[in-house]
Amino acid sequence: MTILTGVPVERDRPRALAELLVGAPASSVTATGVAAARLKLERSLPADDPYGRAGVTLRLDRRRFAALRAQPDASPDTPFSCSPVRCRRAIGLDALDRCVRGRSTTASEAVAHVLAEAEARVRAPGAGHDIPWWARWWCRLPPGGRAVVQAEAVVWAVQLWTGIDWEGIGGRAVVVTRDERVPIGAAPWCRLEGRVDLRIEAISGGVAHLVVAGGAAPADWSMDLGFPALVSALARGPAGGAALVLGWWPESGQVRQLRVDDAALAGMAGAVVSAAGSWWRHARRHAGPDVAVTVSRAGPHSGGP
Amino acid sequence: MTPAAGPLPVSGAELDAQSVPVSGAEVDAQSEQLPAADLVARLRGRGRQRPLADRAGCAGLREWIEDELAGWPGDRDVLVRIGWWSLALGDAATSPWAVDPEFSNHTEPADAFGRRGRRGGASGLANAAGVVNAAGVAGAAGAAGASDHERTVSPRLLDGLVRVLFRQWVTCRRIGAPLADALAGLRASGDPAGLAKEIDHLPVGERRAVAAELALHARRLAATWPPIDPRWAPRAGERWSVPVAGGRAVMVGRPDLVLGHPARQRAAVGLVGVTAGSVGTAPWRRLWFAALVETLRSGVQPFQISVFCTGSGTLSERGVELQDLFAVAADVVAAVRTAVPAEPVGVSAAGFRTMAEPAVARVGAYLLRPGPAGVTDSGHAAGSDRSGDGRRGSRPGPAFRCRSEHPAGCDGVRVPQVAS
Repeated sequence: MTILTGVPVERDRPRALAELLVGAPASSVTATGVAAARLKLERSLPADDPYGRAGVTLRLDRRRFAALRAQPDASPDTPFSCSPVRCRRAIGLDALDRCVRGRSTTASEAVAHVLAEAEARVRAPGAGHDIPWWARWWCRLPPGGRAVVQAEAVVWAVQLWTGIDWEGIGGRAVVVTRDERVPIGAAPWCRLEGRVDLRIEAISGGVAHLVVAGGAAPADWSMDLGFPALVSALARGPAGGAALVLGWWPESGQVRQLRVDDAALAGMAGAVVSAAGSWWRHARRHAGPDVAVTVSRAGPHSGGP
Repeated sequence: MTPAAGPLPVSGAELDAQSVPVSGAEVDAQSEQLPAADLVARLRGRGRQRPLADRAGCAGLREWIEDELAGWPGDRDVLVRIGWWSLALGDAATSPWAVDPEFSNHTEPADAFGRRGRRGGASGLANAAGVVNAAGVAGAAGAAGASDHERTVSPRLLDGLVRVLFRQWVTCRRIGAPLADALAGLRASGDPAGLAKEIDHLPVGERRAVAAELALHARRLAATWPPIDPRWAPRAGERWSVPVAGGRAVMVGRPDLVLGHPARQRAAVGLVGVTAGSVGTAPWRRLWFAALVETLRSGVQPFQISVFCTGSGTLSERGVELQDLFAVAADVVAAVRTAVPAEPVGVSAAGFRTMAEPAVARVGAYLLRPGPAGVTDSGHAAGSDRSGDGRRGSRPGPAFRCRSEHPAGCDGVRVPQVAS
C-alpha cells in the first residue's frame, strides 16, 4: 500500500485535484490479490447470523466501519434518522450530476431542481419506488426545515462543482449516486457497501475514485479510503477496481491519496474481518439465550474474527 | 490595510415595527424592493482590485501556527475545538463559551429579554454587550429593571434567529412566518444552542414580543438583501474545520455566507456575517476567525469580510490582508497556550474523553481561560503581551489595537492594525 499524503497548497487546488485524478496510474491489483481478499473474508467470518435471523443484518458501510474501529465493544446499531447533514450528499450528488451533464449551469440551481423534482414525485398520484430515500422526509418538513436541508445540499454541491477543474477532467468522470454492494457469500448476514463520489477513467486506463467526506481527515484515513477500494475490487474485479483513491475533505481542505495494490486489499480485508467480527460478538452477547447459533467455522471465541 | 468603509444605509427602506404582524408575516420575494445595487457592489469589493493570491505567505502562516504550538503539551486523548469564541479574552465571561451563541447552553442562559436567573434578576452577559430595542437600534440600557413595555429582546437570542432566517432567505428567497421558520430551521439543525427550546419555554407575551421583533428584522432583510447571482457560488452556513497542532486541536469556523470560487491568481472569496444589531465584537470576531480558518483551509486568504446588520439595514466591510490574519493567529495561539485541561468523565463515540455536560463535550475538554484581569475586549495596547507566558518578540503579527472610531452597529470591534 502506498500512502501519499497531501497536495501542495502552493498550487491551484482545483487543477491539482483534476490532474491527480486523470493522471492515476494503471491498476496493479491482480486477480490473485482479489481472490485472496475474498477468501480471507469468507473464511474468517462466522456463517451464522448472530440474531438467528435470515438475510442481511450488518450493512457495513464507511461510517459504521469507522465506528467499529473506534470502539469495537460499543454497539454501532443506532437507528438511522434523516437530518440535513445526512441528506446533503445524496441531494448534492444528484445536483452535481445535473451540472456535469450540462443540465444546470450552477450548483444552487441544480439543487433547487432536484428538490422540486423529488417533491413532484412524492406528490404524484401512485408514487412508486423511484422516490429518493430522503424525499418523503423532506416533504414533511416545515419551510424553515426545508431551507436548512437545501442550504446544506447547496454547500455540498458547490464545493464539488467549484473545487474541481472539470475542464481538466473532461468527460472522464461519472458521478456515483449509488453505493456499491457486495455480499459475503459464506457470511450472508454481512454485506459491504462502498461509497465513492466520482469514478474517473484515467489516461493510463486505470480507474480513480474520489471520496468526499465532511469534517477533517481522521488519523486512520487510509482505512476510509481503502474500504471503498476493497468493495470496488470485490464487485468489479481487478480491472474495474480503483488504482487510486483520492480522499478530499473540503471543510478542512485536506487531500489524501491511496494507491491500491494487492497488499492494500489484504490489509483492508483483515480490518473488515476485525470490525465485522467485533460487531458479531457484540450482537451475539445481546441476542439473548433463545438464539440458537451454530458456529460452523472459526467461531468468535475460538480465535475467530 | 484597506481603509474601513463606513456603514452606509443599503437602502432607504425604513419599516415601521407597528406595520409588521406579530406572526404570519408573509415576506415574499415578489413583494420585495429592487435589488440593492450598492450592497451588491460592496459585496464584490466595489470593483477595486483584489489582492494577489499569496500562497507562499499563507503557507507561512500555517507553519507559524504549527511552530508556535509545537511546544504545547496538549493531550493525546483530548481534541480541543478552537472557535471564534476562543478570542473572547476579555468579554466579562468566566468562560469564553458563555458568549458563543452556538455553544452557550452549558451556562445559565439569559432569557429572551437578556435576564439571567429568575425574573427581575441581574442583567446578564447579553446586556453587558448591549441590547437591541424594538427599532433595532443599539441602546445602552440593560433590560434589568426595565418595565414590560420597554423590554428588549436578548441580542443573543435574536442573533441566532436572524442568522437562521438569513440562511433561508439567501437559499430560498422566501420567508413565511419568521419565528415559525426560524424555529423549524433551528430544530432541523439539531438546535445546538438550545435556542428553540428556550423560546418554547417563554410565556406567551414574551414569545409574541420575540415574534414581532423578528418579523421586523425579516422584513428589513427581505427589503434590503438582493438576490445573489448563483454564479458567485453563494453558500450559506458552510462549515470549516482545520486541524492544527498535529491534530490535537481543530479550528472551526462558520460564516453566515460565503461568496466566490476558489482563488486562482487573486483572492476571490468573500465572507459575510449577519447580526441583528449591536452585539459587541462577536460578529467581527466570528468573521476574522473564519477568515483565518479559510486561509488555512484553502491556502488563499479571503479578499473581504462583511457584516450585515438587520437592525439597521447596513453593511460594513473590511479588506483582509495577510498581516491581519497573523494578528488573529497570534490571538488563537495565546488562547490555546493558556488552555487548561478540564476533568474528563467519559469517552465519546469518536474515542475522545468527554465532559459532564453535552455542551461542554461539544467544544472539547479544555477550558480556555479568559484574558488577564483588567484587559477588556477593546483595551489591548499595541504590542502588549497577551499570551501570558512572557514570550514577546516571537509574534510576527501586529497586536490588536482598538480603533478610535467605531462604525455604528459594530461598536467596540477590534480591528487588526499595523503597529507603529
